[in-house]
Amino acid sequence: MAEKILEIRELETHFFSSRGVAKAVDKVSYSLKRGEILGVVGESGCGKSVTALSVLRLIKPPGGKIVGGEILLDGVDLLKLPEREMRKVRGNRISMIFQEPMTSLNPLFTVGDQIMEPLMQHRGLSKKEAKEEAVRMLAAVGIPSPEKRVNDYPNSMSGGMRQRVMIAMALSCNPEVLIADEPTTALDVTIQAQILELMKKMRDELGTAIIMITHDLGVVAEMCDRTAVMYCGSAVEEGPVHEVFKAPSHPYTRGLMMSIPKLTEESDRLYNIKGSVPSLFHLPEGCRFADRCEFCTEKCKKETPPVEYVGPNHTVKCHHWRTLERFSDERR
Amino acid sequence: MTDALIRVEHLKKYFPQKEGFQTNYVKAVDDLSFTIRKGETFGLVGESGCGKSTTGRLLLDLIHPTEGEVYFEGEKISAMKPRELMRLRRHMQIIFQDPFASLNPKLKVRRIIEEPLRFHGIKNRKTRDELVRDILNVVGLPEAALERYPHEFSGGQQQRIGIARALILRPDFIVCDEAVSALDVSVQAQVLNLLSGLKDEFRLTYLFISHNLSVIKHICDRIAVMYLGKIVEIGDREMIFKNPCHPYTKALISAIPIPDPDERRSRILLEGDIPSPLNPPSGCRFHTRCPSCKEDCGGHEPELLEVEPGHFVACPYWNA
Repeated sequence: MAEKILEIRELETHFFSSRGVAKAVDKVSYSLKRGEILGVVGESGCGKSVTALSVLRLIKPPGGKIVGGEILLDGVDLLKLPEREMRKVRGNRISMIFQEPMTSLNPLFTVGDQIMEPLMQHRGLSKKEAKEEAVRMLAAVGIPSPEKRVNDYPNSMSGGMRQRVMIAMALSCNPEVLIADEPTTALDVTIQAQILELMKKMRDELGTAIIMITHDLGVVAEMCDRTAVMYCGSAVEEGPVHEVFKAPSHPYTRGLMMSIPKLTEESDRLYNIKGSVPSLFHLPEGCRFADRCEFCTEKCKKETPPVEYVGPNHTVKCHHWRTLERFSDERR
Repeated sequence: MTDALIRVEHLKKYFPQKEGFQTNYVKAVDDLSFTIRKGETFGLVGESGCGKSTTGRLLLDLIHPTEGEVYFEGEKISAMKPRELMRLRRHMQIIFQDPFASLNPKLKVRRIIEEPLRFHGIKNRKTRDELVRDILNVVGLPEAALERYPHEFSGGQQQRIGIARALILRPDFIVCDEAVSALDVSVQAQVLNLLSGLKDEFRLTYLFISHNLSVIKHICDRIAVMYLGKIVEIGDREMIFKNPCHPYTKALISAIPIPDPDERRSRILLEGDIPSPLNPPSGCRFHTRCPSCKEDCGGHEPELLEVEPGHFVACPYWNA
């Protein structure tokens, strides 16, 4: 099965404020195959979460608006669906888990009630059936004594437990796509390891395709099949994890890889990308990374780089990726 | 050891928690002893609630210990009079995790950076101005920054302001409490490089507190691993990373995702959650999650054993 379940094409989401228009997502394209885990990486403000929220159409006017592009779920453009149809997609065919498990669970309802809600809503189960299913889901995500825990409120659970509940809720309707927005960022490393293991297990058992949004390149390397790197509202590189990590074609990807301290290597100084991320209100002309890039030329400051194919499944937006490739060959 | 800058002996900090008539104690820091040598970067690593930040604050006497002593260059901090303590504070500073929350939003950057100078009685405005400009240059901020407010800066620049404020008194010792944790990777690299550069330039000693083992490994000379208020392992960087002996250290190191798709390791998955420090397990605090727990581990508290010179482990079965 190599068929694309979700395809984002030239998506544009803008935010409007008194300071101007922020192009949070500017012509972003990436796709997700069935049963695949795609890692979307980038620094804060690069638009990785906004893209995900756009997929579920959770960006509400007048503040923000999807102004262009297509989001195809199994070939159907979600942006053209009436709201009533869209409600049947959310939590059913595409579901989402968030970074902070406490704020995304309702403190006034038991975790059982919250897992039962989508089951009754989308799958039309009776209350009794839904409760049984909720207990089964809690057991599946590894919560001890689920028949008791189902009646607990979120505040009596630890961060790791809450994230397990979120996963149980998100997977309860057996969605085709799960969007996980920094699911382990708020958790300790030993708990993070548990949750990542759980997500992999769920993918293997249920065949859910996962979009894993993270800023941690380590998580991508361990979890994902493919990765999309975002910078300033644009997907600058997309490809199989192995290719992107071993031979990054975009200078930003390369800089990012080199600037993290590694457990497996010794170094005195870290490589650093000069400068800082430009404001979304004052984006530079041409390539957005130009000001910070070592390989920048006059062309970069004028022309926005087009999407080019490095390999059959590997795309990059850079005028000079060929130079860069030679460069990394020499380094090897 | 003669070259100790900070010596900590049996340091304890219990926070009372009143529940009705009963008072329970959160044993945030429970009987720590270690030394920080002059000129080294000493790392404290552990997960949330293990007491690493509390330890940092205890060293600077920002909170008072329940029991135990901290010595700064041989002087007992708890025995100092307020005046002496104030004088000592010139030599020890702290950089916090959230750069924005630790800068007063109503003050201009100039005022923020010169605040320590004013407090420590440098009255001459011109001297202050020179010192501020100097330090601004050192941390890599433009002079135009002086007349602006903290919110006008990015996270990395705000952290540079925090570093400038900590450095302006030319301290000997700086506690970096998760100083780079809130920053994006590309900015984190810049700040880490800045911190190591400053260390050489001003002959600083750092206590570097972080939950991020990769960062700790990059910057620290010696490392203490904490779990629920206790040090479980302490030693040089190479000892901790090449030859981890405590089951918790092993699990912690194996839990970090490595950004290399070729690197396939067998991971030690710990079961369950970190127990509450309000009611820590008896005996070895790690025994409830330990993959190699023995029968008597819950019975008695393990002592730190020297497994090689300078490498201590709080587990009697480290060799098993």
